[in-house]
Amino acid sequence: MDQFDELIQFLAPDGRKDVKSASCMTVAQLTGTPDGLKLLCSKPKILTAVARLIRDEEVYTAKDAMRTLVNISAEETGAEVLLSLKDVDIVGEMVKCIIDEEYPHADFACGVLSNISMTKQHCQKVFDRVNEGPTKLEGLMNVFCQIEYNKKGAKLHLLAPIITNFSQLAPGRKQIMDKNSFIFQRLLSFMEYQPSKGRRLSTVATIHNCCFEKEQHPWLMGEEVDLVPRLLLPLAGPDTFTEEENDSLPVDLQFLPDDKIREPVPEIRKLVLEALMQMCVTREGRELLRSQNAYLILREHHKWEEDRHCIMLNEDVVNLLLRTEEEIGVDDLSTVNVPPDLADKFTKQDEEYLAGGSSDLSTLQDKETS
Amino acid sequence: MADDWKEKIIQEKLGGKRDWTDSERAELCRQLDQDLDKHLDTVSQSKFEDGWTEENWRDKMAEHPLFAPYVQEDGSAVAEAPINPLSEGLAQLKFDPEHNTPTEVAMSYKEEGILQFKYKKYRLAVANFSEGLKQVCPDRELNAQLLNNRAAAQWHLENNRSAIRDCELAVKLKPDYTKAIMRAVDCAVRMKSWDEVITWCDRGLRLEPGSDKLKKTRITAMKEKKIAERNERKKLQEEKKKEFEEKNLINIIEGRGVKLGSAEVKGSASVTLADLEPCHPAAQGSRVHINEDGELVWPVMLLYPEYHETDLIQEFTESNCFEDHLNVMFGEGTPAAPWDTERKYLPQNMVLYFEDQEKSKLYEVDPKKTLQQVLAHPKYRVLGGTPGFIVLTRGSKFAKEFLSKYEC
Repeated sequence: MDQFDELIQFLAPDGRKDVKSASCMTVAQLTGTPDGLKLLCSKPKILTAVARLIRDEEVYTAKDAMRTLVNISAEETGAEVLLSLKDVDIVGEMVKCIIDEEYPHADFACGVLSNISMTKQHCQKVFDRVNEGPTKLEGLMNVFCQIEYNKKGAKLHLLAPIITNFSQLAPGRKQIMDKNSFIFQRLLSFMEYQPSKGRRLSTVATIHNCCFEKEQHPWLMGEEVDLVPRLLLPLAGPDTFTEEENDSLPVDLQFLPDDKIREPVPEIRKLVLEALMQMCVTREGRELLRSQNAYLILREHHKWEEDRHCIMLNEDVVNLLLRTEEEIGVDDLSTVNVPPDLADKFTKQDEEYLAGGSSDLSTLQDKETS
Repeated sequence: MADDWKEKIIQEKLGGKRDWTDSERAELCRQLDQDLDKHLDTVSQSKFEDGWTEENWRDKMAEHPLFAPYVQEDGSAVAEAPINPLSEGLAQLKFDPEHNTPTEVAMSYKEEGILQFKYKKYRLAVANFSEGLKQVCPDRELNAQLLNNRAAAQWHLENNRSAIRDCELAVKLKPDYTKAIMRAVDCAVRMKSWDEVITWCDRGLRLEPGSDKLKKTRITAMKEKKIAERNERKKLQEEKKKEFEEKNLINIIEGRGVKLGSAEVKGSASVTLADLEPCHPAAQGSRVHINEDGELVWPVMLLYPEYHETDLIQEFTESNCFEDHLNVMFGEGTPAAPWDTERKYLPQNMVLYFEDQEKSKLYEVDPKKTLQQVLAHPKYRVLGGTPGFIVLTRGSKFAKEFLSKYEC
């Protein structure tokens, strides 16, 4: 035990510089092995001491301290320990680091927050603590939406997964879709943010999660957000349409340039297609998609798509769009009760399809009509 | 002011009556003119005596409230100047840095600026607010106000960019300055700079979430931005398409073995579009193009040196032969050209030639040949985008003389 007490003394903020930085490095190195991690998780006092060094004037010491916190938070137990530290408010500290334009290790701070908000139960805790502070989720999103916010070169891309984690909570979605701050609209522009795949993925995932709020659909699809064209844009390639076809599309999608690329990451396309599917749950949504000629974009996307899962999702949406409302017969598809045995059957069919087995379209269509 | 004066006149002359008839209005005008004339007469009779002379201007000036503090030659302090209390008070009250802190001076300029602003003297207002800012007073709030006020004056002068710059600085000094943000929004809207509108709206919405004006402006700006971007994309696409078509045209011309020479530099190495633009005014607008069958359609010039006349065939499809056109233009049943008084120019009499590049030799053209065949002739050069041919009548005296000028 003495060793550890000694270590804590060495880590004291006002201690000798060389000793302090060497000790901090030692701790950081400990996080490199499973045993080291386990050991540190059992010593909250050391972690507290480390957390107090994240703004150490010696830049390497501060960085080692941050690295330690990131590695600890990557494990669920570590996240638990960090969240329950008594003398340091880890969430508040990380938020402060993120909103500080001059803080060089802000990306690590994002990493810690994103790690500790990963599981649903921790997520709620982190979310509450963020909202207890002065910055709140809105403040974080504000920072996220400003490119080159951090003056020391931190990219803050990792703020996106934090927001995505919060979007799994109903109150989180409510805050993200706040109608007065236009923060959601600002988020939309990062769906096509080419420099960072992570930023795009998490942004799309957040929007995807928000699309499950059926009550928000009129707002999402109305003029304030106008989400549908934004969802179609990642699926649209260079323009191949006639002038009349172009005119039938929303302005965002007209006359796309020759160098327009489709979203290269299948995972992102999948989320976009799933979000579109959510838009099709209500009759109003389907009618809007038809009036915006979403089919045209989906048709071209289908020709190009190679990922089986995406093809399947594309066909699901197209099947709904091509059918008349009389044929569909239900205004709100989420109210349809699928008997468990049929649900199992459909899931199995989808799995078979994805496995490359039966690609019989008629069976897929059965799924919709039942 | 003007309104006060008007009220006074209405009271005096019309007893406050407002619904005057035209004749009443004319009568009033006449009376006012008369009054003015009378006044001028009395004024011109008395001699002006209060003017400054060469001898006394220094003293007069020193007494004058406007100049008093600034004419102390010996550099003595303003307070010691033997002047009337009014000028002293005025000077000290306002702009003298010796008697005022920078903040006080800046404040005076601000008030002066606001006064000018009220009288719609926006340039003077800008100048006053600028002077105020030059004091670099420590009062952030005051500086922010000066900037915001200057932005307002700039807005009236339609200096939108300067106005936005001032708003930016004002907000930097006072982050919750909604007024300045709103003004920047207005300026950006006026410039149709939609990205800026959106950024400023977002800044405003952070201070006043749900502000109706900001919400509406932001939504409109988003729509306008999308339309502007679409138009930009469309324009780009049309330009690309045009470029492609022109490239294609040049490829086809080169593929046909047609050689071009610009009118100035003969026989330039590669074909450019400029070479294809017709020089002749009549041919303008009928530049060589490709028809639906993929054939070239040229404007073709026929020259009749005998009469110094020309004809332009605006659309001569390359697969047509010369005979076809000559028959339509000169064949039976068509009236003779006005200059062809002797009716010599009949298809069977006409001979066509083209000049080689050096204009030293003429080559006869078989009218049964197509334009494509003729243009592919190794000696043929298309000049000024318009193939040209000389037309003579067979065996005529003029033709003989004309031909003798060339080596044959």
